[in-house]
Amino acid sequence: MPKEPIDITPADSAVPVFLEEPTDAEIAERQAQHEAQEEAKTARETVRESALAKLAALGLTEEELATLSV
Amino acid sequence: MTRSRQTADWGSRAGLAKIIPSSVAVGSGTGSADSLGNVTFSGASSVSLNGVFSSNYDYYKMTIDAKTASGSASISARLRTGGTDATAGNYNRQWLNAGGTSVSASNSVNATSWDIFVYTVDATVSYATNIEIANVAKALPTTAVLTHTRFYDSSIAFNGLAFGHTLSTAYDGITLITSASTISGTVRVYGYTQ
Repeated sequence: MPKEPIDITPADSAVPVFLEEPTDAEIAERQAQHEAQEEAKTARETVRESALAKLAALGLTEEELATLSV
Repeated sequence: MTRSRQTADWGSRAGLAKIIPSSVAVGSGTGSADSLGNVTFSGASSVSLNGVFSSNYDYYKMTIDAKTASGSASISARLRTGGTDATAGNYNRQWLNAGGTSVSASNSVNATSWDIFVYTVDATVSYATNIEIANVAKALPTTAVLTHTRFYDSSIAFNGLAFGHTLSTAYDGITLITSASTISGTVRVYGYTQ
């Protein structure tokens, strides 16, 4: 259930400003989204590190690896 | 009509018109909009601009500068009308990232918002971007394109995102939402004069 907006218009605002607090469901959704994106970020980094390790195992030098690790 | 008169007419019709929202809403913290249409916010879990899109313009430009209070977060956007966000799963997004010689991409469909900063924002770098939005205030699907320069690890990357909202619905506002912490920054919306 949306909460009633509260008028918090500051003196220097040319238009009304309202406080619309998120519902518990919206807060939970944001938390889930944040966790999913953190997991995706970790997964990307893991894949990248694995790929670089494999390349190193093939004998690439640090200088050669550096040109790939952007 | 003299040349000088023509130039004056072109001048009055050309370019971008900055739009003052009819109201602003924040999920927490504070916000305000000055008489020039600069919307600033601080400590906000979300910031909504109401009454910025109308049939006066077909195309809009939106600039966003934002950083978190602490830690990292992602920022998403939702269209809204009449002060209420459109929350159904009608948001599609294609992302392209290029850093050095590496290029990667991903696609998301039927989401409940657009990920406008796929890479996270944080408290130390203000992530500036701009979005071009088409047909948002018409009874047509909305499309948008975002280009974003990402600084990281003393390097630089290009992010490009294409957005679609599949409903043929007119919207008059937009909400930015942070996934964690709170955000501070400035948003401006311009209409392409026509």
